[in-house]
Amino acid sequence: MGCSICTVISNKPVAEGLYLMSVEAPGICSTALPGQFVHVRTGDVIDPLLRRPLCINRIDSGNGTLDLLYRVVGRGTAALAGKKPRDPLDVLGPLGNGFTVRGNFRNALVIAGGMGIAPMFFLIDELIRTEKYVTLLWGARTAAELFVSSADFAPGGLTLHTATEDGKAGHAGYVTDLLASILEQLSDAGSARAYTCGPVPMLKTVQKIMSGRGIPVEASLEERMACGIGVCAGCSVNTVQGKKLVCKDGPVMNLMEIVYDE
Amino acid sequence: MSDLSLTIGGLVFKNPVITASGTFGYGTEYAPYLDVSRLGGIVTKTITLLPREGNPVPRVAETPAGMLNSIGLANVGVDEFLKRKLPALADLDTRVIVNIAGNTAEEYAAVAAKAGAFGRVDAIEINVSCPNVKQGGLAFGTDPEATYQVVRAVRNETGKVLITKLTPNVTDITEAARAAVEAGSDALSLINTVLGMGIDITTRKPLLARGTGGLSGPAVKPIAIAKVYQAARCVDVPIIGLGGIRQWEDVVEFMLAGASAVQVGTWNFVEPGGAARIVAGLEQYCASRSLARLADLVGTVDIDET
Repeated sequence: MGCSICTVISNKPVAEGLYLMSVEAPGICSTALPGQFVHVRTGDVIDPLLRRPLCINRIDSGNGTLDLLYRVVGRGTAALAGKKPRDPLDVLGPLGNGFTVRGNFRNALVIAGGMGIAPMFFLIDELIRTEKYVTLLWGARTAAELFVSSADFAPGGLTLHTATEDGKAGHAGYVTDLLASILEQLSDAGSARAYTCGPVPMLKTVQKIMSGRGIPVEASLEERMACGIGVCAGCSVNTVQGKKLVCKDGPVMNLMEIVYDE
Repeated sequence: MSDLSLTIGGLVFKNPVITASGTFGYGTEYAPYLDVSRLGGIVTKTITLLPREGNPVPRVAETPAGMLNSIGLANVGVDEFLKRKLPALADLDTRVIVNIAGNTAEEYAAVAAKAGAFGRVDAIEINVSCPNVKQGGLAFGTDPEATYQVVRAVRNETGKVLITKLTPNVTDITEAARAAVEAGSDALSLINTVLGMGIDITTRKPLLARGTGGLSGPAVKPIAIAKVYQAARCVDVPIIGLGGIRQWEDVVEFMLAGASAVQVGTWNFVEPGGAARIVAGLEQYCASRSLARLADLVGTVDIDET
């Protein structure tokens, strides 16, 4: 991990308000694990002041570039959306703990809602590379936000199920509506792992549905943070083992150990 | 080579740049990003008698050129700190200041007695200014008599150099400043965070779960400069200035206002390693101005007295 000035390669909208930025960062790419994040300054300014934590969306290790997927929701992400190719970008990372990719399991179930897709392409690439059979349940607000297909991954590795809130693609509704039936179809639940990321209501639903099935579920969590490395203690999360920090102890944690308020 | 050093209560600091409590962890977290021994000193996060988990989230929020926090003094507790965290600082060539707080004056004294027994602890900073806890903290800092009692209780327990960290959330900071010095404080550090609040107009929820919190970052620097200026004119002990420092120019400004040393806080979150760059900037400043002693700047603001 380190702090470095990288170079923006490209930065384009992939759907309304949703941007994909590609950054030349060979040092980060050489050590990053799926699920880790980077902490990005939006410019050489004091306003907005803080860095923005962004999951690593995908890595092209051959070219030493990483992709960051973000939705423009405030001044910081608006500043990021204004970055042009060749602009410098101050990137701290890779930070945090990633997903468990290696291990003796066959099936990988990936459940992503909204911006929860952000860390998943890197994860799916690695799961396919290690010969896992991957099922992705991807929920989005609109069909336009489902901006990649199974053809964008290594052949034969990925089965994709989608859900949209506007009902224009896949299941009309939430992605968690699909989860129970997908689990029924899972041929060998004893050799499966699940990975999830999304808004808290979705994570709560996933936690309920996955409860008691014996399938390990890792969630990439999100919380407001300042430092990104476990110093400010801002990003606390309640777990069965007490409070932990999303940036340092996560962002990937065992979903079944997260304690949500009722 | 210019002399950047200063002395507080007989304790020599090689330069005036210290990292502020709550923004530098237990002293080792930023080691991958900077040579901690470049710094004049480090202040640990606030240590309490018992471990604390802190307040509910969200407990940090960004505001214009600043941030709000209501962490609530989350820390491992003094025993765990002394056993597991302090030993990692053994080989650092920098001053180690342990920041302490308690619910009562007796608790402050108890933490100080424990921490003060360790040679690696160079000084103790008394936090009577945290806005994010129900008991203690700010309640002591806004009442000069209570400030006096806390500092006195700590003074009676330890011979370590004592620094009392003051709040800006008072009408007249010189009252608490005088009280702390009368009680035996060797120096004052100011300012702790400014009580602040933000509200999301869509959800009608406060930005922090607890409602109010402490504002820090560049936004508070002019407040801090004014408080340092006021405090420095009424007490004879060194002032450690903090509030919004991010570059060497800010340090010079604080010194002109009357600070002998400074602390870098929120900026550590933005630029890990930024504190060490400020030291380098001060060295260059002294060299380029042929300034033999940086300390000669202290309190030399050119202001017309009327």
